[in-house]
Amino acid sequence: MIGKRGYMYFIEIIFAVMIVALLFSGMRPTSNSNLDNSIVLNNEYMAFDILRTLDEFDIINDYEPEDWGLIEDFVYGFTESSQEFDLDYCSPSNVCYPINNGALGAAGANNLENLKANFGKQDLASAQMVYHSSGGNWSSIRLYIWEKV
Amino acid sequence: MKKGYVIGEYIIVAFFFLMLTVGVISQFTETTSFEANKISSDVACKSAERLFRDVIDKSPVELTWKTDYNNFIAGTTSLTDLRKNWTHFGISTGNKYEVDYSALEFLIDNVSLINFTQFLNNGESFLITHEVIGVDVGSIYSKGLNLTTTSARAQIWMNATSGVASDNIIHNVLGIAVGSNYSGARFETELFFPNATIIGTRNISLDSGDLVTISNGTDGATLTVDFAIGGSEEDILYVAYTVNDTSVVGWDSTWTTGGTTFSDIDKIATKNNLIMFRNLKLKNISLNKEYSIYLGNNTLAKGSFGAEQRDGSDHLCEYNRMYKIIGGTRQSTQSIVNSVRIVNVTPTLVGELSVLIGS
Repeated sequence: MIGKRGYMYFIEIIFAVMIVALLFSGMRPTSNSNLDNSIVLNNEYMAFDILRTLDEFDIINDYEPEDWGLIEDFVYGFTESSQEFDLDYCSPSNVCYPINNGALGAAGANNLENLKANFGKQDLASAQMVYHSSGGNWSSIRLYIWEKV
Repeated sequence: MKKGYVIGEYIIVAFFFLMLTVGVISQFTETTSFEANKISSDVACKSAERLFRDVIDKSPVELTWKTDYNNFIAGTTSLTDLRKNWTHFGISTGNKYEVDYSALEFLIDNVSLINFTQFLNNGESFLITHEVIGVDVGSIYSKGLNLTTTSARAQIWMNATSGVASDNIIHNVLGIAVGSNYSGARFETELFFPNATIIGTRNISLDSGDLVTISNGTDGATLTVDFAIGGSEEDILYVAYTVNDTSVVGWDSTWTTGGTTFSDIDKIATKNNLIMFRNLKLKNISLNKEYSIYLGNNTLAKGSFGAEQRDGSDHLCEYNRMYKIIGGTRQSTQSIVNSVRIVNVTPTLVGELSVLIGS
């Protein structure tokens, strides 16, 4: 027979479950984005270091026309076999173009938008370097690096 | 209420709370341990970056730092006096992202780990390493060394440009040699020549145990080398490559002495220069020992200073960056096809510098 006693059991169980759920949910590990995203951080350093190195070795030359095929080949050489990359060029008027197979793509259709739309990658690292284009205006190259799945 | 019923109820409630207590303690321990590991890793990462900034990003405080250090070793300068002159122990050239190879070499070859740890005075265990991942080929012009007289050594250098490909194509010749006075070591690496094509090879003493794979792709040429040392011997491979295989008769003369087409030739020759290495290794696996790999005359491609760190530890953190490593300048007589000239050779490498810290 279920009287007042059974009702109390039911209340006790509800409270016990609530306490346990509260304790367990309160003990979730913290999230430290610096550590959890250490691969992205390393790849960001790497992307910046690659662009800087290409500039230092005159693969990207101030005041000279860019050789996109050559730049892609050198980036390929510096990235590791576990990584993939894409490049964008942004003109002085801040219109960006994807660089693929040694040529500039359509204005505004940069690789970052493609990557976001197609992959939603969480481990995408990027760096940007500013230089003088052949016309003497400031331009920039963006390099995106991510780990192969 | 019956007595048995009450006792049963106590047992059930006690069991229930016991389960709850065990569950909470277990979860608490797991979470605390996880958090503690994260804190250790975070501390190790911060320490690694700080040590990198202190040692690799700063130049030596004084020009006579090597002399002062040697005086300290000899006992004529105390650690206290050394600290008065030195606020840090840097190996940078003074330019951003650039390391002075002679300072790096001095640190690896001459500085005692005990003294260095005393100087830092922070009790951290660390490992500073460098590994070359790219090189300006023109900066490692040299002659081949005799590698059969000592333990295993490897040398990669820019050789005289002759006898490997057509003289009329603007190209470089890279020499790769491995030798030892006894067997057991194995040299493995992959070289990538961006935008280039390998147009010829010549080898000396390669046998069936020595593998060379060449792949000319759309991005550039890849050369994979796997040489096994089977006794007192020296395996040598010469590789000729170019970024433009158009025939230019007499390019060597124009490039070394000047002429109307100098600029065109120089552009091709300069684009030939930066190449990359992957997985550079000369090792005797059975002895678990790595040997020296020289670029050019005497620049070490790999090196380390510090204590070995545990692998796979949660407490381990590595901070690494790609820096230019600049060696000391020397004069060399360079031979290009039928022309000879005197050049200043300054080893210019792209290296991965890293600081590894285990807390």
